[in-house]
Amino acid sequence: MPFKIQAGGIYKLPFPFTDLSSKKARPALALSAPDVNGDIRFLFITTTPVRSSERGYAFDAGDYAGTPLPFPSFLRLDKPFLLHQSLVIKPLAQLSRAAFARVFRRLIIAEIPCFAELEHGPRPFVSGTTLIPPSGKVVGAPELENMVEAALDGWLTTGRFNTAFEQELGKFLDLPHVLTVNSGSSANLLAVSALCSPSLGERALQPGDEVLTVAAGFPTTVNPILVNGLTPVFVDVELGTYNVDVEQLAAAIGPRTRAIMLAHTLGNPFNLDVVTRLAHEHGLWLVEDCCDALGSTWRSRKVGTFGDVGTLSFYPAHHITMGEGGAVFTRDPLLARIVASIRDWGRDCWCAPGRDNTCGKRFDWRLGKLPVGYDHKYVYSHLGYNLKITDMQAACGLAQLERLPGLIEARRRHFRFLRERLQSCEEFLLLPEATPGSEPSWFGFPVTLRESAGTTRLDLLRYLDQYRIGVRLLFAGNLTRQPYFANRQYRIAGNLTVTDLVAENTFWLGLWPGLDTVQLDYLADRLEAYFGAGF
Amino acid sequence: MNTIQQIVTVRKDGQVTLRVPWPAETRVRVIVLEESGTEQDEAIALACWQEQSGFARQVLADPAEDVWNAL
Repeated sequence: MPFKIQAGGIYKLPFPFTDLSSKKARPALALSAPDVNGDIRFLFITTTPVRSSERGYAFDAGDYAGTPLPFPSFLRLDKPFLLHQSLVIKPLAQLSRAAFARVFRRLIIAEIPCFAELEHGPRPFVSGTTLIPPSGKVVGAPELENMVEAALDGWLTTGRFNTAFEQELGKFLDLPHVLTVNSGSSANLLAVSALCSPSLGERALQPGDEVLTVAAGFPTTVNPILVNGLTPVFVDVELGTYNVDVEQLAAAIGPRTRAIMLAHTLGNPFNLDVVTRLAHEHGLWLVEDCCDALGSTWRSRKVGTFGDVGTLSFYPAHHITMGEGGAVFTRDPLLARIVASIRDWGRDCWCAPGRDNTCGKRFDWRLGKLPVGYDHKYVYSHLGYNLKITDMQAACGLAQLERLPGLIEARRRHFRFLRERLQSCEEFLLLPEATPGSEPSWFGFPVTLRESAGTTRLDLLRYLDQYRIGVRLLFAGNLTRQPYFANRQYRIAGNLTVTDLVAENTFWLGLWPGLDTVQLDYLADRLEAYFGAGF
Repeated sequence: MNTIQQIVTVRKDGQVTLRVPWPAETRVRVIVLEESGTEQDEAIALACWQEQSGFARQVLADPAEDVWNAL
């Protein structure tokens, strides 16, 4: 054989393979050099286009290192052949290194749907045996494909998938500035820390300033207030919506009040008419913690777009996930710059990873007391962290965004189902209500055990646990009663009577999109059986 | 598609006997190659099986693909 067969080469093979007269021939790409037995893995190339039911793609002239094949050439990815080197007639062309790498990328990705169906596809539900988790993720082939793509890129840190994710999420929210971070808690930390930035001048929050919030929620809505030396002021909540009591919120505003930071509880928007009016009238910053409320709307506009800054979480329990992750979003370009700085080590430079001198003045700045021309890449204007995400996370999130409308609709559908189905238990359970003016993208289905129910929440939760039905409390219940809150600086506006009731008697049921009405019906059956209702 | 490979000796009457794992009445395709023990024969045998695939028979064998013959 006067030529060497190498991986990435395109060779002429006899067809039929056993017709050694070589009257007919077909081209095939060698995926490997001959092995110890002389065998080569080939993919055939046809001039017949690939059908939609087949896997393959067309080469273009740029894919070749040298002279391309003279006819339209479609690589058949799903038809591998193992043929012996003795059958090869002659070389025809050679793929470029990049094009050959792309072939393997496509081959690797092509196997994912089968795997995804086996590993992440629906499984049969066996009542009483199969766990009904209160929250969970819906991931499949698109997420795995994107994550593998990102891994194959080898970029690892924030990269092309992150750029695309931030853009697409910005479109969904209809906001110009979206910055990903490594968790919803980090998002809240950045949102509050940004409001303390000296770059805001007199508007910056100062230590001792008060921030209105609620105690019936998740700790990392409040922790950034404490970490920044600010004072949380806790306002009571309403039963049913589990959001801040807006009348008490107005009454809580004092001379040191400078901001409001509230979560849309379990996806149910708080009263944005009142809260935004109060913020405007009193010159208060408004941070909307939307970690549990992606897709919720207030008067048909997405929550998170009313305040100065909004935050999201992409932990697996949330509306979309990337494993760990979150985002901060805003309309304000200055706040966006500050958030980016604090997220990215506190640096003054805004170059994306792997980029340099975006400002065009990298060695021309004079900032702080540094020497003239000190490399802008190493100038720090904020006390910062590194809270960026990896591109594999962003890749997962990007695929999740495609699913988002369906995920939101499933949550709403499940809420309606449970709300209807559990009416039989209303004598015992206070059922949730959407805040008037809102359309929630529900995170969970909150219920409060009525005092007249004749049982305790603990007994009920133990009962549900026996039937493999998972439930969750309304997070910290009353934060001020948590062990870590001892000796913290805070103020309670009025009293937290309802918050204490929530801590005592409220819990929430799952309605995430991975559940279906069979499971929800079983859940409702068990509750009816417990209360002796619905017969 | 299940395939089997057997090496058997032709009897004096020119016949061979094959034992196959499929039930009676199953239609099977029989391809007989002379066994010489050479690498080339094994390569041909391997290729022979593969050219029975639907893709080879329907797509690669399509006359539209004959444009490649003259290269």
